[in-house]
Amino acid sequence: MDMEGQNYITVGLPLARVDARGKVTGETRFATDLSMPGMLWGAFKLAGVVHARIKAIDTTKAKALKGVQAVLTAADIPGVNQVGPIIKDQPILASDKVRHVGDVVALVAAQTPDIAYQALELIQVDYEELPPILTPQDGLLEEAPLLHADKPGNICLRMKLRRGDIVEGFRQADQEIEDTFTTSRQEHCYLEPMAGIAFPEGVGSLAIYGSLQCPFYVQKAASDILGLPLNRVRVVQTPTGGGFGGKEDTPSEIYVRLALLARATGRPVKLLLSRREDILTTSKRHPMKIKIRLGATAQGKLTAAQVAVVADCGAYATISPPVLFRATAHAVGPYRIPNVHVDTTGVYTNHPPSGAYRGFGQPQMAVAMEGALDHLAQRLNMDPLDLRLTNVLTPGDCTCTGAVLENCQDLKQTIEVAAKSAGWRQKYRKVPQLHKRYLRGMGMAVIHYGNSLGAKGWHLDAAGALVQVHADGSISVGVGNIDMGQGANTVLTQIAAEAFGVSPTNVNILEVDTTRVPDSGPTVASRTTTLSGNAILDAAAKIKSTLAAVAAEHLSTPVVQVRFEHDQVLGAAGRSISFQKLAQLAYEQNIHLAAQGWWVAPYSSFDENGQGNAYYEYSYATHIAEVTVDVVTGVVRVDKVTAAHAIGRVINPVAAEGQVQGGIVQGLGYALTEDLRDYTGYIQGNSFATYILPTCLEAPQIEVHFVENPSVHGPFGAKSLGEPALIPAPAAVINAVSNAISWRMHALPVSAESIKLTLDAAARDTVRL
Amino acid sequence: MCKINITITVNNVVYHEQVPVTMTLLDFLRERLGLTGTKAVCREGECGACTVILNGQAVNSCLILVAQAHGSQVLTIEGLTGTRGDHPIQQAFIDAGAVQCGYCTPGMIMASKALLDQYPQPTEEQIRQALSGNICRCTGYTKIIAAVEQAAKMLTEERS
Amino acid sequence: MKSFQFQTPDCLAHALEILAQSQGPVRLLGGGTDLGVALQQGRLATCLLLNIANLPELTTIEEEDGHLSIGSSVTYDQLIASPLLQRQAPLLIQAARTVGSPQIRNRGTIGGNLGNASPAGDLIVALYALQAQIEVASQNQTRKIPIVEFFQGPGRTVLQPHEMITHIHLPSNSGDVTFFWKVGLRAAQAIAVVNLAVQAQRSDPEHLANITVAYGAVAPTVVRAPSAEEVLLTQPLNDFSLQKAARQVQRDITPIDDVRASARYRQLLARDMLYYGLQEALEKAAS
Repeated sequence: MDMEGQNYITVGLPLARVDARGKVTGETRFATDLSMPGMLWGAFKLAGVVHARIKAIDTTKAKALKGVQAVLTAADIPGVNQVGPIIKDQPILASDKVRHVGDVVALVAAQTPDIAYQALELIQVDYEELPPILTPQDGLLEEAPLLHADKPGNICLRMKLRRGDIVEGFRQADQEIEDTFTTSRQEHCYLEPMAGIAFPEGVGSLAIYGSLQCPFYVQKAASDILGLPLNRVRVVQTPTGGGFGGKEDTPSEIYVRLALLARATGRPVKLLLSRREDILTTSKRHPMKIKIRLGATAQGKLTAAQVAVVADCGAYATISPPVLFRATAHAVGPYRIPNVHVDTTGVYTNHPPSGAYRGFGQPQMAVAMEGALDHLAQRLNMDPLDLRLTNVLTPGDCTCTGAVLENCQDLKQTIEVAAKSAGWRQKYRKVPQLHKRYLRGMGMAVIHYGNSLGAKGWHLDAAGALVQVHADGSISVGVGNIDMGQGANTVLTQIAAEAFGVSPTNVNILEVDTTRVPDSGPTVASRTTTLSGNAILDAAAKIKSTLAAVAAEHLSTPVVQVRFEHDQVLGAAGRSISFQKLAQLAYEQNIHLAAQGWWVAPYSSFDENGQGNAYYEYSYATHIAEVTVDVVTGVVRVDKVTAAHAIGRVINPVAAEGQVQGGIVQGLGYALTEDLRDYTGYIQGNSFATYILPTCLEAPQIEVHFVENPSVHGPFGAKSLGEPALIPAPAAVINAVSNAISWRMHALPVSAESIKLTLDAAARDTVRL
Repeated sequence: MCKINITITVNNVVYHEQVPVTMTLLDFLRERLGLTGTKAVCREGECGACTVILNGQAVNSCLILVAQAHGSQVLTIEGLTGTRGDHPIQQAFIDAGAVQCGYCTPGMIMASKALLDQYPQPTEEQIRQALSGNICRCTGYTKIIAAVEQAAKMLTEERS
Repeated sequence: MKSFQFQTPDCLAHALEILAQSQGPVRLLGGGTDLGVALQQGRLATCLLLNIANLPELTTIEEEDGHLSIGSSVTYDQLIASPLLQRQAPLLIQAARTVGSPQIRNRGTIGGNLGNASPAGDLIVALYALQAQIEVASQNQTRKIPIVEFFQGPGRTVLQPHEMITHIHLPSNSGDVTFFWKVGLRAAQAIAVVNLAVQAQRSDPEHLANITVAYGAVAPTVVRAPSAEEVLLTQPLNDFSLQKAARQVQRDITPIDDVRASARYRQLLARDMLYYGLQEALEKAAS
């Protein structure tokens, strides 16, 4: 702990969320709640087939229906028919081919939702169905049909990481293990469905209001597709009912289709996807097959790790490149391993695109690496805790990308704090429990998390802020990153209040509008506190230096001695002026009290061998799960999760704790029940009745600890938290289940059924792991 | 579309309305009365986001035809904020950090209200059972349960 | 364009009259927890929606001549809250507690659960074990149908278009070894993967009498398990006979793979739930 922290007033406070009151009274207007005079309703004609050539689209009947104002197909697109933030492989409206069941072939705008849906039924699409590719393994076959003509072998991308000498590494090993893990297709299930409204604004301009994470992505996509310059498209983020990555890439398609309708009709057009449509058409978490081989000395020192990842990218690349970069860079966890090979292959299939989802490829890798470590510990007859303590990175060590971590003492501390608090040494059972109905188990997972976008997204890693001090001392703050429920606006309020030494009630975070600050990249990668927070500090520093000069004169104090505290501005010899009066004084002198702030993330690199610092900063976490398995049914109850997180300075402890608790329950859903069951491309789990989310009866007791080791990069020393909250949880839960039943589970979801079938097979098998 | 005349009391205001016979209570509240605090998420009774209190009981307003609610008393999230300010359950949700994205919140609060009306001092198990029809994707439920416990305390103190 | 009609009769006779006279299709609307979903998803064909939720004759729970009579519009919540049922038919209450969520239990009705005829219907499984009789009425007659004869397949019953379920009759308190056990994909808001209801009397420490074993979600309708019942009726109670009965269940069920589970998992569950469930229930009855 540094001593400086003791002096913070607002930073570190469990401030109530600034947006909570509107949400508990029902006053908050989400996109779903908006309407405008003369508004039409938009609707999407989904493909309904998995892989087909479009022979003809007939919209005549739909256009003739009374109340229909527009029916659009790919032919009606004024700009380029292409989205895809990195690889431009996705048409916004399918023209020659459909590649997944939720591809969109036509759009309707009508006077009521009912009419719009009737019109969809009247659109006739003549398909020539093609054989579907339903697994990456099928896609890689030589005889497989090509999803994209210019993507041979259906390969979306390949990535590799090479460190040390893998052959030598395994030669030094006294023990080695190999496991193959498979993961499921997780759906975000943000509660607010995709909803937005687009409308013409002035002549030749358009505005889009929507539930989204990345307003600047939507602005760029709208500009490309509508053929408008960026200064003719304004995007505003409405209060967003959950995102988790699900509103990162997909809104660029969804709301731009809406903009096409608004432009065609000259009227406001609203869209509200049904839950089924939302599930069918939006992106998911990448299913992966991960083969992992580890070698270690008899004393448990890791000597080599070899990982092969095959990821199902679905029909389009969307955000696969950075997801698979993150997966590759974090493949072998926060451990000291001199010799590492990672090979990652992303393959196109006829499923909905795999895209951004909280954790960005890391939860899958953690399931594999942490599962393999437990296997290795068993082979070495070592406590899994000791195996981790032996190998965990300590200051001066290198990650598998060669990043030297100078300040990572908080990583090992998360293990120690979680293990002590959970009572690992007292409770962990190495010996199988026999002849019992209820089996108890304990499992852990340790992760590091590269903050922000890292080397492959560095070109987007900057953000702006517009700060304005008004004449009454109140402060408006505009930023480019959004609050989707994670609490950004509260934390940014605290950062701004701390910077100016004023009460948080003086600060108002404005709705995010692309005209307010320059392109600040996406709201992803757990980076908002750092990026927008630092941008606010930059702007605040400029205004404060102006204010300090005014105060210095008024208080007859050298400017360097002026301090901002407790809504006062203090000078020498006990002289002071209230912040409010100082602002008023400045206005009376026509002094400009507004500033734009800008912050650029430190450079990071990742070469063709996967070597470089990869990210400029890392967060750390350890989760320990305790479970009970009923051998009669296979049902798992997660009794308790103990979490220790190193996120630098904690800006708001209650909000941070809430992030961790929510991440854990979302992670245990992924581990145990959540699966879209998309075996055929048609998605069986397309409703809340068939996609099984945890309820409060599944939520365990959760204990959260923070290890505070301030970062030199974050505002007041903060680091990332949103994704690390989830990443270790599935791995810890699965390790606990494997420990309980004395059998390693390799396939997600680790459902009651899979456990029961495993136990049944094991009972008939003499050999146990 | 066949229509029907109904009388319904929402948040202590009596409405006489003509409605399509298949209009749900949810759509009636949101579209006819503009009470958009009640949220639509799954529209199949699985998530509880549309929970309102109908004649004293928590119900999924997405599954009820407003025609069936003729003659009924309905309380929505907008009706919970009284002249004296926020209801203690609302305050407890703010204080306990039980709100994140806020989309499940109105339904959660109405389900909590129905519970506390029946059991002023519920056990943790009763709270979990009472909220088991309300999905939250953000909070992991811990702080929501804590908020209901806190609200129960506040309400008990208010009564005594 | 669909045009639905809606009518609220003021008494049972009125409802039956509408049913008898209606030209087009009529759907009985109770709590709407199934029909409401179908309507929202556009799966409901145009019909007259007959609102029977509050028909006074159908909302009572009574004991008459050693029998329980439950009106078809009684909600799950009302079943659970009934002191009479708590004493006389705890099995039915256990089943009702596992249905949906509080919001669903506040609206859904026992008649709706029967009429919907899901092979996984929680109350149906309990009512099989309780050997319920279903009373159905039309304008001209009423008849009582043993529950095992009521269902014809998923969503199909012997009910005629002009008939409705009015009451469910149960023999009161007929077992001392009973349990209801549902395994779903989560603890609440779950359709059963397998649900099981057992009722029996312990005639002496070694034997069971009047045993009924009923399963849901393992066949096109809820089924009894006669092979397992036979073992339990004829053999002295011990670990061996319990295991044997559990193994015999395979003869009585025909589970399938569906969105929730595989046939194999259901077979294992059906077997082990009976064995462990009986073991526990017998221990409880003994203590």
